[in-house]
Amino acid sequence: MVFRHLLGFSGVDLRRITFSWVSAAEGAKWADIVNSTSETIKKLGPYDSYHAVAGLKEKEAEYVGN
Amino acid sequence: MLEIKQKARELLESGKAQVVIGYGKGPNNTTRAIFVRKPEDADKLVLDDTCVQNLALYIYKHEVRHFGKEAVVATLPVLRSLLQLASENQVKDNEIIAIAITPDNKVVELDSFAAIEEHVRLFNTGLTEDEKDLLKKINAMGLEERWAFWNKEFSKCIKCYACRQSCPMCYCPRCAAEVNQPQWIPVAAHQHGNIEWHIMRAMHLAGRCINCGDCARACPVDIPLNLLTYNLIEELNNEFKYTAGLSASQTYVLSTWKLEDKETFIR
Amino acid sequence: MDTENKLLKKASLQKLIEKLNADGKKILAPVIKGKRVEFGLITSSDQMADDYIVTNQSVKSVAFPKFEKLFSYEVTKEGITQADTGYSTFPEFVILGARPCDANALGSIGAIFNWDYHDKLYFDRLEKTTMISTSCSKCDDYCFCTSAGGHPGSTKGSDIQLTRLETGDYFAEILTEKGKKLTSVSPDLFETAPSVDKSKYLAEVPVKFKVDEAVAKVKTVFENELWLDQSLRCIGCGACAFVCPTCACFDIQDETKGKNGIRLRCWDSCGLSLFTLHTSGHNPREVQSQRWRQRIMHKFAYMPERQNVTGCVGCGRCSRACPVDMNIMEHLINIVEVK
Ligand code: SF4
Ligand code: SF4
Ligand code: SF4
Ligand code: SF4
Repeated sequence: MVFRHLLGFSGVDLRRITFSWVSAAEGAKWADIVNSTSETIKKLGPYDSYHAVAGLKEKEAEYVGN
Repeated sequence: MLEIKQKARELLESGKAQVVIGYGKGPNNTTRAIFVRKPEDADKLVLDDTCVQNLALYIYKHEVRHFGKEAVVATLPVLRSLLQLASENQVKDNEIIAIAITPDNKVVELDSFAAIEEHVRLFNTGLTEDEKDLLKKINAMGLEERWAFWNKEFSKCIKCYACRQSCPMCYCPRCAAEVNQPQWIPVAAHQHGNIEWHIMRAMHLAGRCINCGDCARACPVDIPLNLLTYNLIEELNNEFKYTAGLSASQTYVLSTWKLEDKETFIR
Repeated sequence: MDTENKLLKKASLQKLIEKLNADGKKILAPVIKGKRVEFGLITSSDQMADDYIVTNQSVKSVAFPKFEKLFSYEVTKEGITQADTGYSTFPEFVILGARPCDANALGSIGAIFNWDYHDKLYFDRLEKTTMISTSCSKCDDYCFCTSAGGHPGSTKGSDIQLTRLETGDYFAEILTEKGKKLTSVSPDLFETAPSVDKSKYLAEVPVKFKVDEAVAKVKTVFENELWLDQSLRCIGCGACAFVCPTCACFDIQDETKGKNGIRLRCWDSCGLSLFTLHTSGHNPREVQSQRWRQRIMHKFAYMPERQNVTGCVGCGRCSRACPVDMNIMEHLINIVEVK
């Protein structure tokens, strides 16, 4: 929860982040969480604003001034 | 100020301490940390509004520890740092003498954690209204705007690690940013590396930061690092009624659990 | 080439900026960023900071950025293919308004990057950069260029130097062929200069010690307790090295994604404890006093010995940036005074 809050504060899209506690005995819960998370992500499409800074190509960008 | 000098001289003369870590003046009328080892040098100590550096980080610096028993001129952040470090087993009780100032401006010598705890209770340790307002400003931004704001700030980072080095809570001999098998955080100061570095740094200070502000003051490119830590202080206070650096025996909020904790704390 | 003295009118500076921009050059000049002044891209003279001593960070990023790609590679069935960073991809920069100490400092880094190995990337970037410096009419308590072999009107390392006159116009010294070539985009902007006593416009930077004296002394104090005394408050960060115009240490890093990778060069600093940590766990510079000594030794003993230049131009940036008020000038004075 604290980490999630920090990510949100830093401008990360929280709809894309899921944390949960699943015990080894809770197979159905696990499946539900994975399904719903992947569905949300699929609906949202690629995370462009993150990819805009994280790719190898982008790290080659000419650094100018500060 | 005179009393501080006297107290320091006394401690050094009696041999109760071999070094007094305090504030002195530099050549351009700057304020800086000084390490007084001779009673006659106690006159060099000063204490005024410019004495803001958190001196707690020097108590475990190898070369300073080497002098012998340490006393430290302790502002509120220093005292809270000592308690937080104590709760993390980084200092032992009765190991350090704190020279502190009461709310009515008297100099007191605190040589146990219990005495420091009692002293700290005399002060307000929450966020100030100004600090809360700054937080509100960021929280009021939309997602894209907030992302852009932090990207702009983080892009300035040159990875000099002055923020980390100035923080008393950042005492790990090998920072997670420098672990390279595996490499968690990219070393280069590119945008991606900077975002990861800052989120990691802030997270590692959640529930440990005592809000001295040194990280932000140390940053040579003026990144408002304290906003990240204010945010965590506020969150931990709201969710767990937890404030770091108030007691030497409190357990770390993020690694302990209570029976009554709700499952919603994981999400 | 012989220096040519010209007059660049205030209004002509703006025209020059426009011409250079139109010519495809990127112009880096001091601009105000909050409480700091830093080099940034400009398209108009209004964007330039007016009242400043030196920029917070140095101009070195133009040829030695905080990180840069050395090459990229791809692992294929046949082996590894490598693509070098090309000269052609570097932008053409014009630096407008660096201080004489900054211009001079690029030569010190150059001496390191041309010592036992010619660092093509650094020199290629530099070759595509034209340096227009502005002489200093003001200094502050941290400046000590005159004790480090420079002075506020030094033209070393500059292609053109501008000195602002009371009228707001500039006295322009065209110093090199590269400088001359730059003026050729619009020669009429550079008018005949009146006779000017440049020294009248320069700051008076007090001499604190003689640079030769410092160089001679530093060699003799390796085993002295002053290193410990000076560095007790040093917290071992990289701020001083990263803002310094002459610090050249770097770290090499690979970043990969699938079968593709890039190799990067990133700034590093001798002040950081990991800098000398060996794989075995042994660290030959175990404590901060040894690292502080290295910083001074490298600049005032090893570089003069090996590269015949000092590794400090006296800009004072490290002292201004240091979070704990380590003041290099004060500490050098201490060293020179050792009996
Ligand atoms: S994170 Fe910053 S404000 Fe918090 S204790 Fe460390 S230096 Fe102080
Ligand atoms: S002090 Fe500032 S520039 Fe240095 S690593 Fe921290 S945030 Fe980055
Ligand atoms: S060591 Fe300090 S004063 Fe000397 S060139 Fe570097 S930043 Fe400037
Ligand atoms: S001298 Fe200052 S800036 Fe340099 S490593 Fe020490 S604390 Fe950091």
